[in-house]
Amino acid sequence: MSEIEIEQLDIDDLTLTGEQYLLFNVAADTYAIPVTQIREIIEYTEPTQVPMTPDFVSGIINLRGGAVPVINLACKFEQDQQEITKRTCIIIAEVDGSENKRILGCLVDKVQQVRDIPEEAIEPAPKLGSTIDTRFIKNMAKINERFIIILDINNVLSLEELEIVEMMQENSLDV
Amino acid sequence: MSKDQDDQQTIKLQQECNIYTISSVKEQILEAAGNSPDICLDLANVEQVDACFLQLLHATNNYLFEKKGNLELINIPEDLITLSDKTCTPLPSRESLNEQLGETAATEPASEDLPTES
Amino acid sequence: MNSEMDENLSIFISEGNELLEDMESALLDLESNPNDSESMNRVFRAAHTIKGNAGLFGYDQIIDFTHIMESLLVEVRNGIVPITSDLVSLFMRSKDIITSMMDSLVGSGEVDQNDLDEATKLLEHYLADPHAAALAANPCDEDGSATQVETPTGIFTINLKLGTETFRQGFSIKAIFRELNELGVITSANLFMPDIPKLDEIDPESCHLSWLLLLESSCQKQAIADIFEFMDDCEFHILSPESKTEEYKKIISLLPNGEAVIGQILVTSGALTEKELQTALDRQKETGSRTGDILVEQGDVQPEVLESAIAKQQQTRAASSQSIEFLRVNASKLDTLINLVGELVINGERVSGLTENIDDDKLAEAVTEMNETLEEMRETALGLRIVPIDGVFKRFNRTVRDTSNELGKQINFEISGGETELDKTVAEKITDPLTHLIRNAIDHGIEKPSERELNNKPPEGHVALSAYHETGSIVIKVSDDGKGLNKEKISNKAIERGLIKQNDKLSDSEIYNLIFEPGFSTAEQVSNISGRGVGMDVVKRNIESLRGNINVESEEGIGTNVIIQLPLTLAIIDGFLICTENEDFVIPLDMVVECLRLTKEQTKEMEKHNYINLRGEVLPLIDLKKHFCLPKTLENEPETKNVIVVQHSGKKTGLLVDSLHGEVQTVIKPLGKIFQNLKGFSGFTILGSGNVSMIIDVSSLITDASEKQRDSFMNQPHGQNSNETISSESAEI
Repeated sequence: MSEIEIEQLDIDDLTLTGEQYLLFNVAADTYAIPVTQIREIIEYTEPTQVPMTPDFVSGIINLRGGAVPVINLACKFEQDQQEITKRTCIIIAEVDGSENKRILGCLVDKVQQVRDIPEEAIEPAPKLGSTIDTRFIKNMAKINERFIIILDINNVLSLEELEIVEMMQENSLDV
Repeated sequence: MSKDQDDQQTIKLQQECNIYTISSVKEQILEAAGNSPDICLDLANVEQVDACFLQLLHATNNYLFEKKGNLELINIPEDLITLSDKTCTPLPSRESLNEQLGETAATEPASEDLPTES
Repeated sequence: MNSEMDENLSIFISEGNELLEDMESALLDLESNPNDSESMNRVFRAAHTIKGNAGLFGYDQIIDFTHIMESLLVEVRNGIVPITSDLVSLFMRSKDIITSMMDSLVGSGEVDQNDLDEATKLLEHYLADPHAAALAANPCDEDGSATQVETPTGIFTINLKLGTETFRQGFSIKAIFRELNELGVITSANLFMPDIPKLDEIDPESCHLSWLLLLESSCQKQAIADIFEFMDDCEFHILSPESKTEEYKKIISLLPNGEAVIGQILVTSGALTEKELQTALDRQKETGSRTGDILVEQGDVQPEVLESAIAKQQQTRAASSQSIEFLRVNASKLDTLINLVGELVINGERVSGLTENIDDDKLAEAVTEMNETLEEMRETALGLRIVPIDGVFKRFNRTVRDTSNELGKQINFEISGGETELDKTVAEKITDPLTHLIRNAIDHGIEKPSERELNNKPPEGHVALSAYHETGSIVIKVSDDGKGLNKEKISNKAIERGLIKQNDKLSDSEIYNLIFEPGFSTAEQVSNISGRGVGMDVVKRNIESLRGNINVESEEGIGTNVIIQLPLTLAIIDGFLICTENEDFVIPLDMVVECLRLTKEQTKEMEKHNYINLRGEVLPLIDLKKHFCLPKTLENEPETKNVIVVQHSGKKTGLLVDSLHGEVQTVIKPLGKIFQNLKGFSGFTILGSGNVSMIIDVSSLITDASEKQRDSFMNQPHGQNSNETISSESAEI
């Protein structure tokens, strides 16, 4: 489970004006997360299933002796599941929880690059017409005439969401 | 060891020998000892004595012994004898001195323990 | 700088608290046994050390207060102030004040100034008036030797060197000898004037006399020393008679293991006087020789007596090294170490697996050796967090004492199984629930003495606290011989509170366990002791948060037992690895009873019902695949099925799985907050392959499974056959 070095990625525009973002793909769309929220990116490793949890929880992986829950973003965004390929990655992100920082893994199809997104390129999130739940979107960025969704990773992975675990469990009783 | 006793001086002590007078007694003896190492102490007029007098007697005895002289006590009062008895402090004599020197040598380690004082 | 200060403070506090705890338990021992000088020494040591530590950091308030306390303790230790219940209470109170002082240092709580002033005054009162108090004194320690009247006559060797000022100070040599003669007979005396100056140099008022005396007497050494007491610059050494040697040796051997200083041992035994010791200590500073050697050399003690004192000292040191020599380690560092050892054990297994197929004897040998070492390391690391429960139990002596005093009840409190070991974290967290249970037992369980006598019970109530190990868990029991629980009262209350319905039929144990329901309190009068908002439901919740369970047994008029079962929650456990639908799971090995391979016949039976016939017994089954809703990964069901039989609360349940992989050593790791509501798992572990595997918590799995079965039974009221009813009931454990 070697780390993928960021240098291998195609880094351009390394100007220090705007904030730096990691761009990645989930299904057909491109998303971005500020690099400050990312701990590391690791190769895909098959997570261990955690029974009786929602589908978007892929399971847990061993990260240097600790268990890191992995969220399947495609599933979370209700997008089509992609096949696991060589380029499938797990982004290890830090999330500000209600009490303290937590580490979570995000299963993504492909990591593209780390780049600056100048402030002027950032636009507010659309209220309508997005393919995913608008609560997950922090901003939109327009780069090379393409829209990139800047995720509000805290919301995406928020504990409150994950504690739906409980609900799911109760649901499973009716099965 | 002994010298002829022709030069023996007799000191007739006139006062009580206690802590208040002991210094003057010492001066008298010392003065006499300067003339001759043979001294006779006449204690006829001394009724009461203190332990400091006993100590002085011993010091005198040692001093005279070194000068090859002798100390003689005459008219020893009852009080001195009692004191000597009670405090297990023998009156100085040539014999007691010898004895004492011997004892001191024999109990060298014990006495060495005692810190030396000026 | 600041953080260093903080660290020092926290060390001071944690050490201080430990000392105070020890002080408290010693005080309680002392109260029941006032002659126990070892306990006395423990109290003294604690106060003394706290004062010393506070001195290092300059906490003046603590220094001042502990100083007064210590002064009084010295008097008590010397038998001048007698130990009474009042005095012990005062020391207890002082201990509490010191605790609050330390708490206030870290900003939690304040010192009650009135309490402090009052306690200080009381302490000073005892100090100021020791003689009035001493009338009732029960002498111990050195007085103990002094009271031994019948001592044989022997010859003391007295080496007396008068100080130069003796004459001028007006001491009469005659009087000294007269007093000596009163004590005995001077059998021999030699005058020495080793350093007498020459006549021309002598100051005739200075004293240069020394004697070596032999005194035949049956007196104590101290009596002789007393004669010379006021002669400040006089030096003397009194060697006790040979006949006393044995006596001193005996006293020394009987001394408690408290004093680690040779000189003090000798003084306490009577073989040495304080003054002789002081002289020797002064000389030691000059010469640097050992005190003992100086004492023998000076002729203060016989070599044999010194030897036995040295032996005593070593004994004391050995004893104190057992109780005091601990290394203070940051708990988080310890946890990290344990985690790392866990990782190492895992990697060791992994290496074993990787080298299994390599045909190299030397490699195999090295790997085996490494794994043996790792195993040892694992055991040691495990032991680091394990403590005997004694430390927790001892605190309750105080709880019982205070509670019973407050309520005017007499309690005989018994502790057993204090040596039972458990994880320190669990030990810490169990204190509060136990405190509540014990208070409850005294308050609600034990009747008033008058009421007890009416019921032909001894007026003194019996409360027992015990602990023992039972298959992978620790059981703690709080029992009392009080009035027991009244079923009717509980039922009525529960109906009143809407916890049960009028016509609900409940078993005795179900009724008793109602007391753990939130908002349930049978105490008609809310007393100061219990019922202050924290009820039995909190106790139950605390226990459950430790993954334990609590039960109550009672018989009216006879008494009540509360039984707590707790996991040892070790960081590393032995597990049993199973696999179903390609997912690995670990079951704690101590839960596993046996493994079965299902015959075709049994499989059929199983498919019809949720149980099988195991040697004539009904064995309820849980199909993990179904229970965990695992997605199907295998195209064909495996030919044979495996059942792993687990035992929980004395009942057996079978877990149906695809395959068994045998024993593994695993490090339990917490699942983290996001999975906190996940039932059936106690954590996860990392297997030798590096994969993560979930650890099954058998008790919550069974509870969860039986709930599910009951729910499905309720949801499908039709078409149930009797067999399924049986199975669901038997799965309810």
